[in-house]
Amino acid sequence: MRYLLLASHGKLAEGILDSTEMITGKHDNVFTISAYKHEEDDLNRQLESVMVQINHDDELIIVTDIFGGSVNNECMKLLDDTRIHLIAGLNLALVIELVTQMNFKITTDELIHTSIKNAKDAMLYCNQVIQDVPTNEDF
Amino acid sequence: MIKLLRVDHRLLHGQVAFSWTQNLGADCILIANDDVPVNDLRKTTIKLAKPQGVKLVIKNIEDSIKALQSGATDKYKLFIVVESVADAQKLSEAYPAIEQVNLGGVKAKEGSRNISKAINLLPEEEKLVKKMIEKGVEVEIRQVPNDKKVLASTVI
Repeated sequence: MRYLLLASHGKLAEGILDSTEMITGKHDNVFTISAYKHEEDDLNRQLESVMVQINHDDELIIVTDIFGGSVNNECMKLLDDTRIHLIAGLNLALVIELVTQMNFKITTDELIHTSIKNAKDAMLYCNQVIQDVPTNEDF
Repeated sequence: MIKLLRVDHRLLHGQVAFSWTQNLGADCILIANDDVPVNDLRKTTIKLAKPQGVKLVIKNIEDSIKALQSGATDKYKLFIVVESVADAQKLSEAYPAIEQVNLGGVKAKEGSRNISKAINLLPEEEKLVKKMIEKGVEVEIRQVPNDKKVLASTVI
Protein backbone atom coordinates (compact mmCIF):
# COMPACT_ATOMS: atom_id res chain seq x y z
CA MET A 1 0.00 0.00 0.00
CA ARG A 2 1.08 3.56 -0.72
CA TYR A 3 1.05 6.21 1.98
CA LEU A 4 1.56 9.94 1.71
CA LEU A 5 3.24 12.17 4.28
CA LEU A 6 3.02 15.97 3.99
CA ALA A 7 5.68 17.71 6.09
CA SER A 8 6.25 21.43 6.58
CA HIS A 9 7.65 24.18 8.77
CA GLY A 10 4.52 25.04 10.76
CA LYS A 11 0.97 24.38 9.67
CA LEU A 12 1.22 24.36 5.86
CA ALA A 13 1.02 20.54 5.70
CA GLU A 14 -2.14 20.20 7.79
CA GLY A 15 -3.70 23.18 5.97
CA ILE A 16 -3.04 21.60 2.58
CA LEU A 17 -4.54 18.30 3.73
CA ASP A 18 -7.61 20.20 4.98
CA SER A 19 -8.03 21.91 1.59
CA THR A 20 -7.37 18.68 -0.31
CA GLU A 21 -10.02 16.79 1.60
CA MET A 22 -12.53 19.55 0.93
CA ILE A 23 -11.96 18.89 -2.76
CA THR A 24 -11.43 15.14 -2.98
CA GLY A 25 -13.02 13.76 0.21
CA LYS A 26 -11.37 12.05 3.18
CA HIS A 27 -8.23 9.99 2.88
CA ASP A 28 -7.00 7.50 5.47
CA ASN A 29 -3.56 6.95 3.96
CA VAL A 30 -2.24 10.50 4.38
CA PHE A 31 -0.14 11.70 7.33
CA THR A 32 0.98 15.24 8.13
CA ILE A 33 3.83 16.67 10.15
CA SER A 34 3.76 20.32 11.18
CA ALA A 35 7.35 20.75 12.35
CA TYR A 36 8.81 23.19 14.90
CA LYS A 37 5.43 24.48 16.04
CA HIS A 38 6.24 23.92 19.68
CA GLU A 39 9.57 24.12 21.51
CA GLU A 40 9.39 20.44 22.41
CA ASP A 41 8.67 19.19 18.86
CA ASP A 42 11.32 16.84 17.55
CA LEU A 43 11.12 16.27 13.80
CA ASN A 44 12.99 12.97 13.90
CA ARG A 45 10.60 11.61 16.49
CA GLN A 46 7.63 12.84 14.42
CA LEU A 47 9.05 11.05 11.36
CA GLU A 48 9.63 7.88 13.38
CA SER A 49 6.04 7.84 14.57
CA VAL A 50 4.94 7.77 10.93
CA MET A 51 7.53 5.19 9.88
CA VAL A 52 6.41 2.67 12.51
CA GLN A 53 3.02 2.56 10.74
CA ILE A 54 4.57 1.64 7.38
CA ASN A 55 4.96 -2.08 6.71
CA HIS A 56 8.00 -3.52 4.98
CA ASP A 57 6.15 -3.91 1.65
CA ASP A 58 4.45 -0.49 1.82
CA GLU A 59 5.69 2.71 0.22
CA LEU A 60 5.74 6.21 1.66
CA ILE A 61 5.76 9.31 -0.51
CA ILE A 62 6.97 12.28 1.55
CA VAL A 63 6.24 15.78 0.27
CA THR A 64 8.13 18.56 2.07
CA ASP A 65 7.49 22.28 1.83
CA ILE A 66 10.76 23.47 0.29
CA PHE A 67 13.96 22.03 -1.14
CA GLY A 68 16.93 23.03 0.97
CA GLY A 69 14.75 23.64 4.02
CA SER A 70 15.50 21.76 7.23
CA VAL A 71 12.40 19.55 6.97
CA ASN A 72 13.50 18.36 3.54
CA ASN A 73 17.11 18.05 4.67
CA GLU A 74 16.09 15.75 7.53
CA CYS A 75 13.98 13.61 5.18
CA MET A 76 16.90 13.29 2.74
CA LYS A 77 18.63 11.27 5.44
CA LEU A 78 15.88 8.66 5.21
CA LEU A 79 16.46 7.86 1.54
CA ASP A 80 18.51 4.73 2.35
CA ASP A 81 15.14 3.21 3.08
CA THR A 82 13.92 2.13 -0.37
CA ARG A 83 10.29 2.36 0.68
CA ILE A 84 10.60 6.14 0.82
CA HIS A 85 10.13 8.54 -2.08
CA LEU A 86 10.82 12.21 -1.36
CA ILE A 87 9.40 15.23 -3.20
CA ALA A 88 10.17 18.87 -2.29
CA GLY A 89 7.72 21.68 -3.15
CA LEU A 90 4.44 21.03 -1.36
CA ASN A 91 1.42 22.63 -3.01
CA LEU A 92 -2.30 21.91 -3.37
CA ALA A 93 -2.22 20.95 -7.06
CA LEU A 94 0.53 18.43 -6.41
CA VAL A 95 -1.24 16.82 -3.46
CA ILE A 96 -4.52 16.55 -5.38
CA GLU A 97 -2.66 14.88 -8.24
CA LEU A 98 -1.03 12.42 -5.83
CA VAL A 99 -4.09 11.46 -3.79
CA THR A 100 -6.37 11.04 -6.79
CA GLN A 101 -3.94 8.71 -8.57
CA MET A 102 -2.38 6.99 -5.60
CA ASN A 103 -4.43 3.81 -5.95
CA PHE A 104 -3.94 3.53 -9.70
CA LYS A 105 -1.95 0.56 -10.97
CA ILE A 106 1.05 2.61 -12.08
CA THR A 107 4.56 2.57 -10.69
CA THR A 108 5.34 5.03 -7.91
CA ASP A 109 8.00 6.64 -10.14
CA GLU A 110 5.39 7.21 -12.81
CA LEU A 111 2.86 8.54 -10.29
CA ILE A 112 5.38 11.04 -8.97
CA HIS A 113 6.63 12.18 -12.37
CA THR A 114 3.12 12.78 -13.71
CA SER A 115 2.01 14.53 -10.54
CA ILE A 116 5.00 16.89 -10.50
CA LYS A 117 4.56 17.70 -14.17
CA ASN A 118 0.84 18.44 -13.81
CA ALA A 119 1.38 20.49 -10.66
CA LYS A 120 4.05 22.58 -12.40
CA ASP A 121 1.67 23.14 -15.31
CA ALA A 122 -0.96 24.33 -12.83
CA MET A 123 1.20 27.27 -11.71
CA LEU A 124 0.10 30.09 -13.96
CA TYR A 125 0.10 33.84 -14.44
CA CYS A 126 -3.65 34.22 -14.98
CA ASN A 127 -3.53 37.65 -16.64
CA GLN A 128 -1.54 36.06 -19.42
CA VAL A 129 -3.53 32.84 -19.53
CA ILE A 130 -6.75 34.71 -20.13
CA GLN A 131 -5.29 36.12 -23.38
CA ASP A 132 -4.87 32.61 -24.67
CA VAL A 133 -8.19 30.84 -24.13
CA PRO A 134 -8.65 27.52 -25.94
CA THR A 135 -11.08 27.53 -28.86
CA ASN A 136 -14.58 26.07 -28.58
CA GLU A 137 -14.80 22.31 -28.88
CA ASP A 138 -17.66 20.25 -30.29
CA PHE A 139 -18.49 16.54 -30.30
CA MET B 1 -22.10 6.53 -23.03
CA ILE B 2 -23.27 8.73 -20.18
CA LYS B 3 -21.15 8.25 -17.06
CA LEU B 4 -23.05 10.75 -14.90
CA LEU B 5 -25.10 13.91 -14.88
CA ARG B 6 -24.21 16.23 -12.00
CA VAL B 7 -26.10 19.23 -10.68
CA ASP B 8 -23.69 21.86 -9.33
CA HIS B 9 -24.41 25.57 -9.21
CA ARG B 10 -20.70 26.24 -9.60
CA LEU B 11 -20.56 24.05 -12.74
CA LEU B 12 -16.89 23.21 -13.45
CA HIS B 13 -14.50 23.88 -10.56
CA GLY B 14 -11.79 22.04 -8.62
CA GLN B 15 -14.08 19.45 -7.10
CA VAL B 16 -15.81 18.60 -10.36
CA ALA B 17 -12.86 18.95 -12.65
CA PHE B 18 -10.47 16.78 -10.68
CA SER B 19 -12.22 14.23 -8.53
CA TRP B 20 -15.24 13.43 -10.62
CA THR B 21 -13.62 13.30 -14.03
CA GLN B 22 -10.84 11.14 -12.64
CA ASN B 23 -13.19 8.90 -10.66
CA LEU B 24 -15.62 8.40 -13.55
CA GLY B 25 -12.88 7.85 -16.11
CA ALA B 26 -14.67 10.42 -18.27
CA ASP B 27 -13.02 11.58 -21.49
CA CYS B 28 -15.49 14.35 -22.30
CA ILE B 29 -17.30 16.93 -20.18
CA LEU B 30 -20.47 18.61 -21.40
CA ILE B 31 -21.45 21.84 -19.69
CA ALA B 32 -25.16 22.19 -20.50
CA ASN B 33 -26.24 25.69 -19.55
CA ASP B 34 -28.11 28.55 -21.20
CA ASP B 35 -25.96 31.35 -19.76
CA VAL B 36 -22.37 30.14 -20.18
CA PRO B 37 -22.31 30.07 -24.02
CA VAL B 38 -23.24 33.78 -24.07
CA ASN B 39 -21.25 34.87 -21.00
CA ASP B 40 -17.64 35.27 -22.07
CA LEU B 41 -16.04 35.59 -18.65
CA ARG B 42 -17.85 32.55 -17.30
CA LYS B 43 -17.02 30.60 -20.44
CA THR B 44 -13.32 31.52 -20.21
CA THR B 45 -13.11 30.54 -16.55
CA ILE B 46 -14.73 27.18 -17.21
CA LYS B 47 -12.52 26.44 -20.21
CA LEU B 48 -9.44 27.17 -18.14
CA ALA B 49 -10.61 24.89 -15.31
CA LYS B 50 -10.73 21.91 -17.65
CA PRO B 51 -8.57 18.96 -16.61
CA GLN B 52 -5.88 17.98 -19.08
CA GLY B 53 -6.60 15.26 -21.61
CA VAL B 54 -10.37 15.68 -21.45
CA LYS B 55 -12.57 17.23 -24.12
CA LEU B 56 -14.83 20.04 -22.95
CA VAL B 57 -18.01 20.98 -24.81
CA ILE B 58 -20.20 23.92 -23.77
CA LYS B 59 -23.75 24.07 -25.15
CA ASN B 60 -27.09 25.55 -24.19
CA ILE B 61 -29.76 23.12 -23.00
CA GLU B 62 -31.56 22.87 -26.33
CA ASP B 63 -28.36 22.18 -28.30
CA SER B 64 -27.18 19.74 -25.62
CA ILE B 65 -30.38 17.74 -26.04
CA LYS B 66 -29.97 17.79 -29.84
CA ALA B 67 -26.37 16.59 -29.57
CA LEU B 68 -27.30 13.77 -27.19
CA GLN B 69 -30.24 12.63 -29.33
CA SER B 70 -28.19 12.77 -32.55
CA GLY B 71 -25.80 10.09 -31.27
CA ALA B 72 -22.81 12.42 -31.65
CA THR B 73 -21.93 11.84 -28.00
CA ASP B 74 -22.15 8.02 -28.08
CA LYS B 75 -18.43 7.48 -28.57
CA TYR B 76 -17.51 9.43 -25.44
CA LYS B 77 -17.46 8.53 -21.77
CA LEU B 78 -19.49 11.60 -21.06
CA PHE B 79 -19.80 13.56 -17.84
CA ILE B 80 -22.56 16.16 -18.01
CA VAL B 81 -22.65 19.08 -15.60
CA VAL B 82 -25.68 21.35 -15.20
CA GLU B 83 -26.39 24.23 -12.86
CA SER B 84 -29.90 23.41 -11.68
CA VAL B 85 -32.35 20.63 -10.93
CA ALA B 86 -34.62 22.05 -13.64
CA ASP B 87 -31.89 21.66 -16.29
CA ALA B 88 -31.16 18.11 -15.09
CA GLN B 89 -34.82 17.21 -15.36
CA LYS B 90 -35.08 18.66 -18.90
CA LEU B 91 -32.09 16.63 -20.07
CA SER B 92 -33.12 13.37 -18.44
CA GLU B 93 -36.68 13.74 -19.75
CA ALA B 94 -35.45 14.33 -23.32
CA TYR B 95 -32.72 11.70 -23.15
CA PRO B 96 -33.67 8.68 -21.01
CA ALA B 97 -30.19 7.12 -21.33
CA ILE B 98 -29.36 9.42 -18.42
CA GLU B 99 -29.97 6.93 -15.64
CA GLN B 100 -28.14 8.61 -12.77
CA VAL B 101 -28.31 12.19 -11.54
CA ASN B 102 -25.93 13.38 -8.86
CA LEU B 103 -26.88 16.37 -6.74
CA GLY B 104 -23.57 18.00 -5.84
CA GLY B 105 -24.40 21.56 -4.96
CA VAL B 106 -27.57 23.63 -5.06
CA LYS B 107 -27.26 26.91 -3.22
CA ALA B 108 -29.92 28.23 -0.83
CA LYS B 109 -32.55 30.55 -2.27
CA GLU B 110 -35.57 32.34 -0.84
CA GLY B 111 -38.03 29.61 0.14
CA SER B 112 -35.65 26.68 -0.34
CA ARG B 113 -35.24 23.82 2.11
CA ASN B 114 -31.91 22.29 3.11
CA ILE B 115 -32.25 18.56 2.42
CA SER B 116 -28.56 17.66 2.73
CA LYS B 117 -25.15 19.30 3.03
CA ALA B 118 -24.88 21.80 0.14
CA ILE B 119 -28.29 20.85 -1.28
CA ASN B 120 -31.14 23.35 -0.94
CA LEU B 121 -34.31 22.74 -2.93
CA LEU B 122 -37.36 24.87 -3.65
CA PRO B 123 -40.71 23.05 -3.45
CA GLU B 124 -40.91 23.00 -7.27
CA GLU B 125 -37.40 21.52 -7.45
CA GLU B 126 -38.40 18.76 -5.02
CA LYS B 127 -41.28 18.00 -7.39
CA LEU B 128 -38.88 17.76 -10.33
CA VAL B 129 -36.62 15.41 -8.35
CA LYS B 130 -39.62 13.19 -7.56
CA LYS B 131 -40.59 13.25 -11.23
CA MET B 132 -37.14 12.00 -12.22
CA ILE B 133 -37.24 9.27 -9.57
CA GLU B 134 -40.66 8.15 -10.85
CA LYS B 135 -39.17 7.83 -14.34
CA GLY B 136 -36.56 5.44 -12.91
CA VAL B 137 -33.63 7.84 -12.68
CA GLU B 138 -31.35 7.27 -9.67
CA VAL B 139 -31.07 10.66 -7.99
CA GLU B 140 -28.27 10.65 -5.43
CA ILE B 141 -26.54 13.22 -3.25
CA ARG B 142 -22.76 13.32 -3.05
CA GLN B 143 -20.36 16.25 -3.12
CA VAL B 144 -17.27 14.23 -3.92
CA PRO B 145 -16.92 10.68 -5.27
CA ASN B 146 -15.58 9.30 -1.97
CA ASP B 147 -18.68 10.43 -0.04
CA LYS B 148 -21.34 7.87 0.72
CA LYS B 149 -24.20 8.00 -1.79
CA VAL B 150 -27.44 9.28 -0.24
CA LEU B 151 -30.52 8.58 -2.33
CA ALA B 152 -32.65 11.72 -2.74
CA SER B 153 -35.77 9.62 -2.19
CA THR B 154 -34.75 9.15 1.45
CA VAL B 155 -34.55 12.88 2.24
CA ILE B 156 -37.43 14.49 0.33
